[in-house]
Amino acid sequence: MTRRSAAAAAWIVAAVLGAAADAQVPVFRAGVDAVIVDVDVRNGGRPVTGLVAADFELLDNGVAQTVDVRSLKDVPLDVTLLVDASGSVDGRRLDRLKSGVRDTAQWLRADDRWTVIAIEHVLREIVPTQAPRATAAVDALRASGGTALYDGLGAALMQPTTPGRRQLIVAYTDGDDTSSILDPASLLEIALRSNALMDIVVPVENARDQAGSPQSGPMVQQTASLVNRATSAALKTTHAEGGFPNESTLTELTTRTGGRLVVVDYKDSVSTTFKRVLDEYRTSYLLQYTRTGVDASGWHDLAVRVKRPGHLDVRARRGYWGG
Amino acid sequence: MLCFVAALRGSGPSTADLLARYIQHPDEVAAELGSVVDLDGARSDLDRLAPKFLAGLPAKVDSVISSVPPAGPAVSIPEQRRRDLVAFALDLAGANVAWHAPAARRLVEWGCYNVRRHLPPNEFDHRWQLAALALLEGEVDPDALREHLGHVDAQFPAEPRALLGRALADEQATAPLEFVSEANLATVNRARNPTGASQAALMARAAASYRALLSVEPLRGEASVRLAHVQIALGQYDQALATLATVDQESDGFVRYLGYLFRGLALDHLGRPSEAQAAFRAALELGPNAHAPTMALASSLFRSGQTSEASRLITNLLPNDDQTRDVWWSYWAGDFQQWGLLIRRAREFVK
Repeated sequence: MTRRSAAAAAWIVAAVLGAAADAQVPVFRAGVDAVIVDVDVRNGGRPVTGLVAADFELLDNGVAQTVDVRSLKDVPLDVTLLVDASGSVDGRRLDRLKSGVRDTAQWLRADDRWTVIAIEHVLREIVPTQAPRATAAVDALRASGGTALYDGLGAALMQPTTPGRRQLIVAYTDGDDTSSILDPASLLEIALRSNALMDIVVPVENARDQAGSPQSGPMVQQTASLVNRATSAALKTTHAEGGFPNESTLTELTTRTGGRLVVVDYKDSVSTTFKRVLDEYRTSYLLQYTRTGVDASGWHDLAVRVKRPGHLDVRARRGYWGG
Repeated sequence: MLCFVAALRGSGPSTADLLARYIQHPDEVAAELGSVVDLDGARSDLDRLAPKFLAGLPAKVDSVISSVPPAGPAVSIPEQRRRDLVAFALDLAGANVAWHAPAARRLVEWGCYNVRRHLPPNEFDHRWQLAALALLEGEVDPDALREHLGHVDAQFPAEPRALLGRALADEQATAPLEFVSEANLATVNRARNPTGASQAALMARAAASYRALLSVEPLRGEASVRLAHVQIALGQYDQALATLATVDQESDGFVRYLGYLFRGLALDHLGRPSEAQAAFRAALELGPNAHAPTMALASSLFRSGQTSEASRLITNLLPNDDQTRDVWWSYWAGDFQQWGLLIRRAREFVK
């Protein structure tokens, strides 16, 4: 049985005072160092709701911070769908992919925005950042060429961010990279500096047969940080070097952004998968705090704990670069 | 009476009809050749046509090559017909290689056989062989490439592109499999590891091949950037920088572009981001908005904390990413990027 694991995401907001011209770089002025971390809390795979600030303990470089808490339900999202449209994705798979992308528009809210990028050997912006609405451009999605997966993931992570909005990247890929100029090490470094949270959905053959019945719906899920050993071992039978190509890189990548790796069966509905990813993300919390007692610059280790009894899975990114 | 197989989709023209039209309007008809689905059938058709076109050629190419000195008298044949036929065969192979690689390769070698039968080789033969070489390099199939290079050597033993092709074949054996077409996968896998050599050993052999060409003047620039590419793959970043030391002086834009790109990658690995970024910017001056240096520059800037400029680069790239702006994509395919030019030059001899 696979278990919905807890993972987390953090998000550094530049901004606060002085309307930072550079939204991507945290700019802290007038002594105000504002950091926002999003945190996913699960109990047995189910979201834990109703938590308040007093329930959380957050350490920034080992120093406890006083946090405010918001629900992600209240925050407009900038969602980037990053889809592998290389030559190997054709026929029914491509149709399912198109359908999933089209349907995602209706699950976003009016104040959300979406962007759709196809990964081939180049990157194609199918839908530029805009309000979520059905667009014929998605129908034009076609499969061709190789897969510049690392380049696509890197480009999505380096996109500009807008203060007051949360950036979520959902990538759908078989994990194979064919033609990137970026290497895994660079990509993982980029992830540490990005403000976006990245979930990666990996379809594999016969995932359900290998992993047993998933606990929550059709998805076979793996945590970024706590890969279910049984699932992992089973998936190794599908690929000589692991469950799927570049498994370790993609796992680490999602972990660094506070996201998660989601393994699904090829036959699963892409629409349903995307909806679940979005729905579950919206059940996360935003923790905001004004950094105190730590230097703004350099790498900041983050540790988040929920002060509730029982075994809770708490997912949050491990840290961030400050200034 | 000859009975030709209609190798085209549906009720399209026969191979003979196509050839007849090709001889009259080679450039126009060449654009139509991509619809052939049975290249082996077309090759059989050409075999049946051959007696009309190749009268007078010796029957056994190998014996002729070994027994007739290159400076010997020309074999008396209807030369123009021979050129028409083999140029058509090569054009037909090139137009369909993406979908029917093995059959295209067989067609190239069918044409090559009939090119080699002609002695002494002339300018048409030279152009034909350069175009064929480019086509086979584009297949990223080092076995087939080496086999063909043996044929080129027999006719043009000092041809520099063939010398580079041999080194390229060595490097192609190390290519990421994603650059290899499905049709060639098994072959390439066999070729890359017939003796169980490690990837590092294969790369070391490729590096040695390129290094040997550094003293061959027409090849020095390209051999340098390709050697640097292998050195980067081997983690020899300092050596790669030394190899690329004179890349600024190269007149060939392809060589300078790749040289700057690889210099940037080597510097980036060495933790010298400012210099790496300068190199990527130099590449972008030669290839504005090209994917590879744009991504590499954005990555380096972002990781250095210069995230806003990196984001701007990405914002500009995403709506406009275009493979035709970036010759990096053709790196593994050698001279294939020149295929269009080279086949046109061969086609000039068709009348």
